[in-house]
Amino acid sequence: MDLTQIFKDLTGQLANWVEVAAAVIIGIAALEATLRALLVFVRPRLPPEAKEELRLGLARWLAVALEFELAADILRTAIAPTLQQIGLLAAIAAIRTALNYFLQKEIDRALAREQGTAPVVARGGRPFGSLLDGRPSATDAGEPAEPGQQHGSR
Amino acid sequence: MVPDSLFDLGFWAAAIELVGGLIIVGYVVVALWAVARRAPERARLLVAEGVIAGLSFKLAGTLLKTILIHSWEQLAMFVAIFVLRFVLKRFFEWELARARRSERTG
Repeated sequence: MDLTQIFKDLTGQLANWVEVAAAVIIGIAALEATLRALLVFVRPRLPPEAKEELRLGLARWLAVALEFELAADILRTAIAPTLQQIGLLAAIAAIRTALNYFLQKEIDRALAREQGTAPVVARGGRPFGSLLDGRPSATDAGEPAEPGQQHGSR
Repeated sequence: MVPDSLFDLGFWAAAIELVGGLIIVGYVVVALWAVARRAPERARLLVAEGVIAGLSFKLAGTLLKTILIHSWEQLAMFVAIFVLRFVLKRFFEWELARARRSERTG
């Protein structure tokens, strides 16, 4: 076996381990959320915020796991040997990116409801904002913009 | 004795991409430590930083591979991988800016 193939196999193994880590995070987060949900269920006197807190906690860990999975997808781009497999990888990555984005929006909205302020994501713009409306985004300039400076704040 | 692969551009491209992959995995391992300390925002920041750093190496490897493109199918595959990485990099740059802002504001 040549060295190039060994490198590709190693990258595949690394991607698998990163996905295992993501699966473990999802599993533990789901287990923890189930236990907390049971607590909320048996203690009806808990404030309604307890449910929101539970949901937010799970969403945060799911977002972390999704980022791990996206990192694994990037590793896999080095080993996808056919156009069909790259297409499949792109479709999965697109779904995960969209899930992560909307999950983050939900977390920001819930936090804003709790604090009674504008959602952070609205102040932070969109990931492809500069491409969509032809303006430079915070990340194009290499520095994250201050709240209110981006077009997402309009 | 010099192995033949040392003169193979595909080998060097794969080696550079592997370095990018190892950088991403290194950051993921540190992010796992943040997960264990129950700091999800810190973990996301670390993964985003690692992916952006690793993608730069992967881009270098991909550019080296352009020398080896000899057919339309190879070119299509190159473009597909390039677009996929570009879109993911844009997403992670947005994520990094958001996570840094979130860390600053607490």
